[in-house]
Amino acid sequence: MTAAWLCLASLLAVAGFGALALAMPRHWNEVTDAACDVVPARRLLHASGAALITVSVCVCWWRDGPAFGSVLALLVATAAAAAVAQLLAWRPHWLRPLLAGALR
Amino acid sequence: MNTTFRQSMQGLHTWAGVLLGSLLFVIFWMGSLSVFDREIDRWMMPATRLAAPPAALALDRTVLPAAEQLVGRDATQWSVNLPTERAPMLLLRWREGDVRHVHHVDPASGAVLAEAGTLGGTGFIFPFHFRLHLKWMDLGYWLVGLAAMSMLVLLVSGVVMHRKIFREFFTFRPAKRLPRASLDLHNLAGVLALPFHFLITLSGLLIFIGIYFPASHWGAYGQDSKAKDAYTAEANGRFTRPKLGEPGSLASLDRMVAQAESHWAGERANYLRVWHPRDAASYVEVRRSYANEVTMNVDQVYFDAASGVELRRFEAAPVKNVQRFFTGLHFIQFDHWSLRWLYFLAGLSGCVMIATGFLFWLESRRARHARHGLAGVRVVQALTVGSVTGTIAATFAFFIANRLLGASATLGSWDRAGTEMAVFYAVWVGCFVHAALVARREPSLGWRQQCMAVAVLALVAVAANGLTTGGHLLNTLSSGRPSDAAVAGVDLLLLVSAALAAWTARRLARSPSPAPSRITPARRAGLGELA
Repeated sequence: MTAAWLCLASLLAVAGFGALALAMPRHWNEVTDAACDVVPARRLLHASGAALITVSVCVCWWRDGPAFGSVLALLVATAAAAAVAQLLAWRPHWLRPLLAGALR
Repeated sequence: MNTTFRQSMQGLHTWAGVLLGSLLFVIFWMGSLSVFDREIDRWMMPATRLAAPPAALALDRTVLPAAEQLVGRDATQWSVNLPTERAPMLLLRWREGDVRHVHHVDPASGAVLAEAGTLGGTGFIFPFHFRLHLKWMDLGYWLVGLAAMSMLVLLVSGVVMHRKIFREFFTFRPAKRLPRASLDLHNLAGVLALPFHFLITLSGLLIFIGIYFPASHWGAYGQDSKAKDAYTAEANGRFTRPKLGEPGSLASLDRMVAQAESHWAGERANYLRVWHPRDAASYVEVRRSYANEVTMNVDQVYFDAASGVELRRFEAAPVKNVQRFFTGLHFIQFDHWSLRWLYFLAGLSGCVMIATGFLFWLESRRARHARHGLAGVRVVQALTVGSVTGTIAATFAFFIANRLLGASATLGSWDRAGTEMAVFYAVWVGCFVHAALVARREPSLGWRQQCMAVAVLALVAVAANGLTTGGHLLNTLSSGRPSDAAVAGVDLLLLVSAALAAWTARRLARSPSPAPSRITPARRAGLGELA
């Protein structure tokens, strides 16, 4: 059960950092051909990215309490951001689902 | 000379990185491995691959007879680390004169296990991380302290000189040329893991505050020898009483442990120590486990050995607890597997950051140094290859020596454990010499050959473990014992290292490193000209 919460926190953090990355024109263009000057879409990506990361931190706190939870949240966020950077480098199209919501 | 703040930070970052990068890599590598020091111990000490320890320890039946039989008359104390899932044996230790004795005892049967003949992960790799095994005048501690201060300087100067910290937050372009790709990776590892690197370095310095900043307790307690004892007693809690010189007895250790644990709200004891054994003034110290908190508590209870009556109980004051929180953050002695793996990966990201920093330095200078006949690149290249792949190769050779040396192997005046260490240092020096010899030839040759060596050594280590202990992956993965899982983990990480090293070597061979002349001055300017 605790493993499931950790998976959830990690997925939320990856999605969050993925959304933050896609809010940047450079990475947007790596993932889609759609024009990246859709300001509301980028704003939505920005806001939902921040929200997802916040929820990920809360899941860590809820799972492990303030001390362990904070350390875990920090390292999960680090690992998630690194994963997003590697995805953008090697498999950018895997992040396309994150755009689907923002472009609708 | 007109320099901006950012330029001066660049100079600082470059020089500190080149001068101390090798030392920092070794510290980060050994620190990352220390995260799994007990798992490495199980791998290197096959006799201790026991079943999970029994829930109720019978110390009076197991460790007491062993101690009575083994501990000599001259010992001023003996101690036992109680078994845990990661270290499932009783660790009995004492000192007679200058000789340190260590024995492992099976907590289920009380049998004294075969001598380990190795320092293992906790005795070699972990101390390497914080004192480099240089004991003369505490030189190792001071070098590590210097490296840690430099690390903080490097982190701050790195952030200052990074022009696009947010715009390139996720940027990694492996398809670009080597200098650009390695700088991307250097920035990525440095920026994303910055909080971890900063906290781990700062907490590392705080652990040894007594060595690095003794003035902090001189101010309150003075500088004479008694002052240090007074500080220790007040901060860490230390009960002492002199020996009487008359024979004494020892009451039930199990009962003392149970009583100590009754003070700790369900928390277990992890360590006990018998002072002045067999003396009428003998007393027993019981310490609390670190399993469930970040803070490494210094909770301890002292008992009169003969009667088992409680003499003194200690818990740290708030300021000491802050220091112990940072200590705990660094030592991760708590039980938390997710954090353990994340620490390991974050530590390795530090290794990546240091190695790619070197790569960028080398590749962005190679052409210019070749043109001007400077030796800088050659020297730094040898230093880098020796300290990166060389350190890894030496570590794996150390593992192999552990599995292939006979039980009574010696070399000159070294015992078996010393011989293993000698193998480590011999391979390490050999790697530096090799790197220096091939640095004159094509740039990637040293990397390529040492990567192949690392891959081969890792595979040999896995094979040697399977052949000499029978603990190969088929057995260890299916047994369900925590100690076998630890061995399987080490084997699997060795296999992953072998695959990564072989892949790197192949890639280096396939794509000849970019001809230095192709890095035009304009391109170098684009890379953020350093120095």
